[in-house]
Amino acid sequence: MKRCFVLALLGLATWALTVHAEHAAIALKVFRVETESGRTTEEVGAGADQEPPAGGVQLRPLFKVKAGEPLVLQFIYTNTYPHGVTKAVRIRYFIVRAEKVKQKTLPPLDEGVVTQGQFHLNFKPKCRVGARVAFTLRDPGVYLVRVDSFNTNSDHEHFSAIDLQVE
Amino acid sequence: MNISRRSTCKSSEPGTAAARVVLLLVALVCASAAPAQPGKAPRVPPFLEDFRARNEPAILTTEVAFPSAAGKVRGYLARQDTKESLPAVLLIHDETGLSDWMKQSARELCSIGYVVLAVDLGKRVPALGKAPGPAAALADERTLAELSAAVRWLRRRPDVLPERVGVVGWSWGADQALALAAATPLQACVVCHGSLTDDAALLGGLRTTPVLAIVAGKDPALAAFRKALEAARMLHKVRLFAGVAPDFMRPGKPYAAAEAEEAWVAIYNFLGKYVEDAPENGPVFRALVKGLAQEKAVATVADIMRAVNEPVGVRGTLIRALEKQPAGLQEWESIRANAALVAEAGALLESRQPRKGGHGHWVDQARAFTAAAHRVVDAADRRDYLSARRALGELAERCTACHKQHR
Repeated sequence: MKRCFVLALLGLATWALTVHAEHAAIALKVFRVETESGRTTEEVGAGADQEPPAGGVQLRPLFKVKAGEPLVLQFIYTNTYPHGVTKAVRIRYFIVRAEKVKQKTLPPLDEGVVTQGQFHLNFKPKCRVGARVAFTLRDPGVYLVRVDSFNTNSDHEHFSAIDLQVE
Repeated sequence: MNISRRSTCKSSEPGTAAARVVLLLVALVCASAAPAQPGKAPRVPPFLEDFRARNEPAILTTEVAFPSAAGKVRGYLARQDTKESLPAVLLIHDETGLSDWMKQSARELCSIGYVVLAVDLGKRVPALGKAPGPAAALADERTLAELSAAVRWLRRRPDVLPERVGVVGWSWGADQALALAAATPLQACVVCHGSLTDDAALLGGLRTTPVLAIVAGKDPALAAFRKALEAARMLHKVRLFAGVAPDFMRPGKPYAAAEAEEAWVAIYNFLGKYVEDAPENGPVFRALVKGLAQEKAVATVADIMRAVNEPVGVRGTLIRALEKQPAGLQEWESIRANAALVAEAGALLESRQPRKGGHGHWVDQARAFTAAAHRVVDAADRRDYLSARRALGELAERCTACHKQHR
């Protein structure tokens, strides 16, 4: 059912992407795209949230899509700290089937995964990591698109998420 | 669209430059291969364009001046070009004054989402190594007036969240920061290689303000400082950098790059936790509200004691009323009213500073006194004479226990 095309990019940049006083900024979006022309027709975006509490505190955006239509997810995760190196950070992204929209608990990643990937890196000041992933969802239902961090040496981790409702 | 068939991307060694370069090249090739398409709908830009896009708010800096009780205060303000209100941090420089490093620190702190004011107290700065310590800073009314004015000025700004303000100071400035936090409710206080004090009156004044101490080298005062903070039940954290000299964060002779970076991350995490994420109804916020109310308050500890404890005071009236079983509803209501006033007096006492003795013990005693008064109120509500008498006895015991240390 799944067809995944991935362009992943890991790199350093010298600027920040934040307004809130946090150690991470995330720009996550999912958009429809015409494969022939490469044009986007509609998109939904989400910023950074944090856990705990489980599921975060921000309202998760919902994107209604049709089964089989070509979609793209893109995220850019930026370490906003101007100082210090955080070692062995993991940034993970995935799309997984969920039971319902606004689901607080994370669905298990051992089944129902549409696509997933992860980066392991040392976070230098203001470095960023991102990916653009093309995918289709052929089965109706609810899916969770999520980017999250691990081991950032903070008392909380950041994530960004969007619910997809496939009709 | 620029997409290539790659299922996942994972560097073989965390953060290796080689892995980054390879992936960057893949992305660049894909980006350049994307053909141009005419039409009305917006074309998806190559990923690298988004990745490189500089879409964060610009940092605006300006020299500012504002009034204080001790005259005009100058400073360097850094804020993001956004309409969003943000938490704020006051920076207090060391003996070298408002240097380029201090301004750079203001801009860097601003870049992660704070309004930052670096005050210029150049005219009051002592010579290097001549800082008289936090206790002297607390007694230095002119400097304290200028710093308090800086906090008020920040809190009144429309782009600042008034209940989310912290202070960071270095060396002499660290002493000033500690004194300021003892005099004004703040969400967090960071002291970088300042004089460590165990002055109970000063530390007690911090109330619920969390303190982060960045300590350089083997400071013999550290143990007493920690012990005093623990005794006062102050929320605190100490980051010790044993192998470096004081002033290791300031570029120059004793600068220690790795330790300075580590110290900055500790500061960012601390400010993030206690300033940016400060709960609106948390203890510091309540202390702030209480502190603002206290600025207008006129009742001293002695006034409260007299009003409560003198024979014609509220507690004296209560004792007389409970010498025998109350006759009816009116007497019980009078007992309840007096007991409720005693409970409120306990809350007032908790917000005051003891003339002597530790602040933590004072707070415990005041709360126990208030709780005993609440039990009298409950007993009055239930018309329970024996319970009311018992709770009245507990009130007397609380008074005695408190007087042993604080009278």
